[in-house]
Amino acid sequence: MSPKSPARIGSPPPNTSFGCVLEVELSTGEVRRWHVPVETLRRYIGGRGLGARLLLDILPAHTAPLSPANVLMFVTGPLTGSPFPGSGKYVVITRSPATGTFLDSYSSGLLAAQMRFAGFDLLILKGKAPRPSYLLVEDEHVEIRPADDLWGKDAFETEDILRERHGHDIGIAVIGPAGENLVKFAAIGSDYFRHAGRGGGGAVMGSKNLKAIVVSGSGSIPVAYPYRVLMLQRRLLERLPNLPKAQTYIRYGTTSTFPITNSSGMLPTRNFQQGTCPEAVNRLDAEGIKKITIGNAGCYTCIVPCSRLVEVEHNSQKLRLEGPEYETLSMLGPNVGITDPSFVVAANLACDKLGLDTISAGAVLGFVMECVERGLVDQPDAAGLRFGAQEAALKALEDIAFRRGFGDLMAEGVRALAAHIGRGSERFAMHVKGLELPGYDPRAAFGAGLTYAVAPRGACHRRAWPPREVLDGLDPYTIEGKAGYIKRLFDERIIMHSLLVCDYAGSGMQLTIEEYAEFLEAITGQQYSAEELWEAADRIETTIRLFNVREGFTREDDTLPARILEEPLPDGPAKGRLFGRAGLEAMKDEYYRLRGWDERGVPLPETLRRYHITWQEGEL
Amino acid sequence: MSAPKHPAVKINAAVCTGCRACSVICALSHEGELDLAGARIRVEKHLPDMEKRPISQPTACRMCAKARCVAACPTGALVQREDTGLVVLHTMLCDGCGKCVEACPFHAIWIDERHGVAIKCDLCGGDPLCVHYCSPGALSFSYAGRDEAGRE
Repeated sequence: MSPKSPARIGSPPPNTSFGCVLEVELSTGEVRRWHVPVETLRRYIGGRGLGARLLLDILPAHTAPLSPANVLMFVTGPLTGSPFPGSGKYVVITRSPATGTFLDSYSSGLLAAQMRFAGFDLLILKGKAPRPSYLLVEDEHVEIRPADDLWGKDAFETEDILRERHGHDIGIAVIGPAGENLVKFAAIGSDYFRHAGRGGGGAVMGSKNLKAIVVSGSGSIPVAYPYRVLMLQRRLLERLPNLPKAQTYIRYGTTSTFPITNSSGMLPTRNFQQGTCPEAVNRLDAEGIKKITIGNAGCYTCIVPCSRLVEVEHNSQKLRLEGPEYETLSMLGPNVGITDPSFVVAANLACDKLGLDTISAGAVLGFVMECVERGLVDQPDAAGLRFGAQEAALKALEDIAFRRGFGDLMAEGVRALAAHIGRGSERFAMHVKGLELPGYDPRAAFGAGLTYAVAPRGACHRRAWPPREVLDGLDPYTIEGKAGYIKRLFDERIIMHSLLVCDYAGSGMQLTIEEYAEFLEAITGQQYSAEELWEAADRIETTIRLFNVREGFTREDDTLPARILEEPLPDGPAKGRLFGRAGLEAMKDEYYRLRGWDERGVPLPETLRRYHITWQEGEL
Repeated sequence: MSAPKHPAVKINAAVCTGCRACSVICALSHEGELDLAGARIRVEKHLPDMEKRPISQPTACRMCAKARCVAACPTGALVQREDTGLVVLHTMLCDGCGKCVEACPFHAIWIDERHGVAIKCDLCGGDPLCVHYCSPGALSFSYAGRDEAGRE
């Protein structure tokens, strides 16, 4: 070989494109296609980050969440559709009808990949269809179709009909009756069992007369370095057998959380009146659910398949479900005073079909049950709702979805219920900014108190997983050092949720930010350093804060229910422990400072400059 | 399921999680892009009732001993090799008529509309990648009735 012949031939591939937008004006059927500016993509990546930037730019301030002017976005990320762990997700971004804040709510199913196969990465929906409709996208073809025959049908029937009509492997997002009836915690469902549950995205869809979205693409997602993708994925698979965390997730899924919360006293029991539920052992925990498991299921290409397929007999009917996840097991289990797995499966299935968030549904039932037992509610159709009352609970779920009787009020969520009932019930109305608390009591992990208070969408468990501080060996009953710890967890999740990959799979595989940067380069050809990704996380959180500040949220809204701040738990390892109002305010001070926000929680001008966040001066 | 007589990807659908990693890896290695349309192995799911078992069913060419697709092919694009038993698709001879699709009782050959030709499993030239990337271990490679460990 001549010494002149080059050792490297060819040139690197061009950066593959991400950031194609399909924008549909539902009122008129007008379709626009555009590309997100390259600089915005670089700074906001995709998923949550990009969705937040675009919502802030597109949505006029103070838009009523259920008005036609609200914007509903389905956003993927640059890793969506790739083989990397947990990359089959999409995020729904909108202004939440439950809270009025920024909302990001995550789901899986084939929709995320199908969007990209069909040639777009973000779907932006504006306006309101004049009649019940569904959106059909088949490659370049975009059509708003009548859905009069689907309106009123449950989510499963709707999916069945649309799959029959448009093919089995379509990407799909549907609402059930709850979304149609604008229930404040209505979910958006995909592939029957996957849900963007939190914050009422389903109600926003319903307010737009949109029953479903169907996407089917015959195209493909370009890859910068296909062989590198195969090599990196092979490396992950080689590592998999030696990762105990991933193996636990594969074996038990999120049910493995149950014994952790129950033993550390953070399992919400009877509307957060207790932190443990000994009767649930071997019934609702990992071992209990294993007894009813008939198979494993995984999301798109996921090598940490955490989903369980279960089968139970309930009221002499055979019920099968993909699930239940930990949050459902806790909130529709001990939180409503029930430890019967067949009830949880029945309630989960009912929520999936009706299109309800299982977390908020469990929180609403638990709250009403406590009110009834304390004699604060005298409506006859709520009288049967007592802790442990299975049939009354199942009936209440339907009443909520169809807004029948007292269900009409329950459909507004815990905050509105407490405002209506009054008589001191506000003290145990378990919500933050209108979003009900998920299945973790912050009195047993003080950092979670800060998490719930400052998370932009209200009480959120996906930004910093509450049990983590216990498992990481931190003292859960101190506020010392928690602000920095929680901020780091938030930032890690921001990166994952912007790329967009599942935090559960990522945590099981113990992936580092450096590895995510490697994946990103293999798929898109774009180089990011880990520092750049951490910086993007700061930029994104501050951008979301700007949105909430613009909508009128202040430091005072970053707070917790009085029960969490003032009533110590009577049981478990966290018995008697409180961080109290002073503790919360101290954690907030530190957190705001670390974020570069002032003492009111408003981002400082130098922070906006530092992270290159464009913003109309004087709007704050 | 009994082992195929000829080299083929052997499927144990009972442990399949329905994740479609096999399809995505197949398309990526063959086409250099991410999609499902270019996959030579496909997964059917029986949700939500899960009445039909297995709940997730991957399908790929079994390299049948008397392959009906070969008999049905009017252009000679599909041939069965006498030495290995492999059912081979010569894409340059395929006109995309779809007779093979109708003939295959296992629904394991498809028409890729983007190129107007049939696509089917080619065993990646002797070491099928999907087997290596199937994390629950639902796929294995068997040849001449033996699995990878050489067991009958």
